[in-house]
Amino acid sequence: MSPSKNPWYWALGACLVLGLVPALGAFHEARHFATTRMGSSEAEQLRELRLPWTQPQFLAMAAALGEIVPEDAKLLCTPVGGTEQKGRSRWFLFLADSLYPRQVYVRHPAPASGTLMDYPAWLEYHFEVLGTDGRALGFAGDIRKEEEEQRLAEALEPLGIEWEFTYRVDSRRPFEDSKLYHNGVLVPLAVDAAPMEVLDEAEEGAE
Amino acid sequence: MTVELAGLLAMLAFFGVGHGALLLVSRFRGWPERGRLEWLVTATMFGTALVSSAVYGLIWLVGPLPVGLGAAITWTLAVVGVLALVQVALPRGPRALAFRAPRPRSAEPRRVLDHVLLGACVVFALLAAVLSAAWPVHLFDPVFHFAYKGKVLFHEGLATDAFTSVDHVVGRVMTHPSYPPLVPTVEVFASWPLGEFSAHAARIFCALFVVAPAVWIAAALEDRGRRAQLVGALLWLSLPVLFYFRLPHNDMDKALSALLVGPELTRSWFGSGGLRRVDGVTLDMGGDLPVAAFLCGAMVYLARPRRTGGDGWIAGVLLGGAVLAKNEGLALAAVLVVACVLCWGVRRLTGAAGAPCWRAVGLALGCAVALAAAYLAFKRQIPVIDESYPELLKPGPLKEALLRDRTYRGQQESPLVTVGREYGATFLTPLRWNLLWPLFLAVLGACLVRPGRALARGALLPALVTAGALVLFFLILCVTPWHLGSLFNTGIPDRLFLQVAPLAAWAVAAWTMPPRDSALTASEPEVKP
Repeated sequence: MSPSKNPWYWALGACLVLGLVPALGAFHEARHFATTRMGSSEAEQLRELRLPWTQPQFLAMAAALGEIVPEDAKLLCTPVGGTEQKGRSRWFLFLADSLYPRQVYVRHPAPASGTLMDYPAWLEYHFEVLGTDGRALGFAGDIRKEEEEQRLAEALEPLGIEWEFTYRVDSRRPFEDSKLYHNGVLVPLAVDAAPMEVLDEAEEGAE
Repeated sequence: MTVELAGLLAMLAFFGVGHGALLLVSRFRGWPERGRLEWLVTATMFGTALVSSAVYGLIWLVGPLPVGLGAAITWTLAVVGVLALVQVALPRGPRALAFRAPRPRSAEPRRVLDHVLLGACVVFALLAAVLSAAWPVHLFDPVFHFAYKGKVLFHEGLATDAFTSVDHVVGRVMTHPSYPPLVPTVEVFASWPLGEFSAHAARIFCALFVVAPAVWIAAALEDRGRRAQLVGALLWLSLPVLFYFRLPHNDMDKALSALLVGPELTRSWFGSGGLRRVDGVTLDMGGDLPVAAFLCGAMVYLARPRRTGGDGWIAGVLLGGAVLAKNEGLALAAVLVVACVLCWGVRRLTGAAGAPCWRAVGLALGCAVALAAAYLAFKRQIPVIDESYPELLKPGPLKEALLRDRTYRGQQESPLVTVGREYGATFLTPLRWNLLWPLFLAVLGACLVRPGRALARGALLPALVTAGALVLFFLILCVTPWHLGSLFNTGIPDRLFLQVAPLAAWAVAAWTMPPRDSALTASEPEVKP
């Protein structure tokens, strides 16, 4: 069969012609890079992206924590309020990366490290079992909380964690009421309380 | 030193190691008249898999390397890489190789269309290189699944509670702590000359992972002539998902406009509402692209028309690279074995040539397991905290998951329906996948109807592995603990399809452009002692 009568060849030809679309799309992206961002620092480029972990407010908070908490220290992150259960409010995760080599710990790390499906269980544990958001747990809840705190204290002691950071589970104003404690003593912390502008989760390409 | 230079140094170092190792294999097993570009790509990928495995093993045994020592290793190997480049550039090349030997297609005249196709390949490769450097590593998976592990490996090694305390009462956080280490170790290696960890240093490898499958698809089509090789390579290189997952707009007309004429003109025509930056995890140092590249290389060396005894070794190291790149690598190796068994069955039934040699497949599996041994051993210490698909895919849980309706966009429906519909939608999104999947499905149908002919054309093995992987991914999505709506927002199933996209392109090219010289395809593997 001659090439012009072979339907496979027509299909391949269509495929190659359609290849112009990604070529042009990639060309525009490359041109944008060459004309606007080439030569700028990584931090400057990341700031443009409006991802939770590249937001100026988050980076400012991480820098403020980094100035106070020593590099070889261990930091416990505790959510103390807020209702958001989306992945972009996992500030402990973003801090673990930004504050490295400081070691970020959490209570009950399995659901915190798991997929987004596990994250609500981690928040529930903090709010409904430990009452870190200050809610009333009731008689049975208080007993359970006491038992859990006893278990946590036993686990915390050998780790030698001296620092604790508290924040709200909120993707816009997470650090408004944030507090940093050193051995239980409040340490003053400069906070950029301006609301964040973040993309929708689907747009972030976040997990 | 800039991160780009550090990345190039790492690449040179990997090439140096790969060149040496491949020369060793070729000295004993031969390198039959293959091209320089193939050598450059194969040696670099070979070295990437070998060095990643070695660095991981070293860190496991002795802890994190002092930065000075690491930098010395990278620089030394990079110098070896430069010398290796000089040797390859010499007119005759290394003595063990046969770059200059006449190749069957050398007499073929080069026509205008060939120049256009070659030019398009070069343009796509350049675009991949530029875009891989255009943004620092920034998306969730590359930052938190991979780069964070690189930081821990760089500073603390593996003897740390970072990987193992995720199931304690109080412990450190790490997403998917059991993910394989190829990407993090490449980042560590590229960071050593910088003196501090930078995931961005390794981004240039994304360009390598784009180019390598193109070169290997062309190598697999070496008996079809230059034009078939170029078309096969372009089927892969022109896939939009290599450059972006996220389209510039939700409306297809505006998305197409922004891609074709750029965001500025589109904004002037339609306004700026809903327009956004294209973005994607492929060139952001995630794990899917390396899996795709290594798996494609391994399969080409197992199934290409003219093989040598050394190809099993090469395939094994590259398969090891796939296993080390992402969890799916191990599952895809298993799919490869099943596909090989089916090919042997077809050969037995039809007498067609073209099935891979069973010794080479066995050797490749052995090499892959050996390369991944340190990782597989350490993985046993890492607690399983979230997705455990081997457990979920056992008959009992699988049957239960398939029969249970799940909520998707507010409606109860079978996961078979939900995932099937998403598969269909993904297959039919040309702005992300061009026409690859409709073409592949047509070719798969043809291969199943005429398996003997498909085997002789070299299309059966890549088609079966691709189809097997698609089925496996389908089942995984049916049993996943994720809410499917959330999962589909994260680039699934496109990211999974990417892992076998080079094989789909190869199968399409191999079936639609059969060999001119049937004697070449029909010949049994040429094994040199």
